[in-house]
Amino acid sequence: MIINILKTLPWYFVGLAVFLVPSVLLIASLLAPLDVESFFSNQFFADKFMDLETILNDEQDPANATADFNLMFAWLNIYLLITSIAISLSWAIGSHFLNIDEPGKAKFFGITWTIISGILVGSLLIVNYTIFSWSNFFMAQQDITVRDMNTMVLISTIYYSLMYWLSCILGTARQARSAVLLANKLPARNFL
Amino acid sequence: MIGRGENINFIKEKLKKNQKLQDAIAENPDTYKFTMITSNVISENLNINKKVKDKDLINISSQSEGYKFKYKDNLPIYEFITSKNNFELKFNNSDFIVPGSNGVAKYKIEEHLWSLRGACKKNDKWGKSKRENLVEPVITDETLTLKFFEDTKLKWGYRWFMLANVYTARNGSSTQDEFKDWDLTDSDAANHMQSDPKLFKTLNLMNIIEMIDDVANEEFKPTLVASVALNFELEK
Repeated sequence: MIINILKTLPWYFVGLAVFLVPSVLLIASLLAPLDVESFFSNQFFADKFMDLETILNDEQDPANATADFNLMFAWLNIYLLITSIAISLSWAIGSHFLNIDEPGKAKFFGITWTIISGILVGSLLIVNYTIFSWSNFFMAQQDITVRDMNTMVLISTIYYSLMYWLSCILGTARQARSAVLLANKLPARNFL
Repeated sequence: MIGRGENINFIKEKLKKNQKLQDAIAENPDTYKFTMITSNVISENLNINKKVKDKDLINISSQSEGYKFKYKDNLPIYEFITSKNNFELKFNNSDFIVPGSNGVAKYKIEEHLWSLRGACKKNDKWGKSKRENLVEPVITDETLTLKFFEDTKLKWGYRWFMLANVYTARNGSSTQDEFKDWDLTDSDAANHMQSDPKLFKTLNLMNIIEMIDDVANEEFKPTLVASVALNFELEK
């Protein structure tokens, strides 16, 4: 069992890294001061989603508002990243413990995967709306319109769901006979 | 009666003290009406004699955290921390409107709003907001209520400073309502005479009152009723 898990984990990390690296670079650039050059433009998301009109209407400094927005967006990505990694890693390891080696258990494997995927999407939405609406951690949540908030929620949920999906597809218990999901048809199957 | 407020009130007091007149009024109250028509119905600015009190801010408890009320150069300042989005200040009309006058039909509020993002630090710069229609005056026979931020959503996490200067914008016409019973139009005159009246109505009284009101309104100038300031931290 442990050997199977250890065989799977590198592939899990390969799948994870595809989305993890851009995410970490984005977080680093968002946490950097505004005048520092970074891999991503640290004003891009603020320019795209921040409602500058209300800020200027109150004669507030847009630079301060942008810094607050970046901080909020960085922490949002950190929490989403932690959530995605925690759930995908749990699946990558936990799937080995499912009793799926018997004939006809593929359905059981698929149902569990679907439930875990649903929990992930639900968790991502909860994290998003906690940061953007329900909590009082970040004042910058008031500097985006409801429409832009929902757009950001949608984009981030899709992005981190893809991170989960790819890492799970590559890192799932593909040695199991009943695991006849897409994972078993990938070329990497031959290396396990 | 037409004239300056203090002179008219002097005469009104004299009439009140006239026992013969008061006895006659007691016998039949409908035979006496008093009104004062003046271009300025404001008896005094509420700030000068510090008539704006802490209890006038009716939906913020004076026991709440961070609550302070003080006058600075005759300007009453309410300071508080709140999560409420709107506030009400209520004044008694009797504190500033000349008794028996036409009253005020409309107020104009001169609004100034500043905000400070985040915690208040020494070198932070206050921003002057461009928002409008922040205060809605509600007029009743007894009170003037100023409703702050009814249609405006202020951002939490900010400190806000609101200064409202309340001016009269148009005098009322309560005299016309008061004397409507005594008015007699040309067309009703014949009927009235035939009804064997004990009290004679006045022909075209409303026209006369309207003309006098017009004269008073021509002389009308906006008068500052009160200035109030709210200095508050808005929480979520």
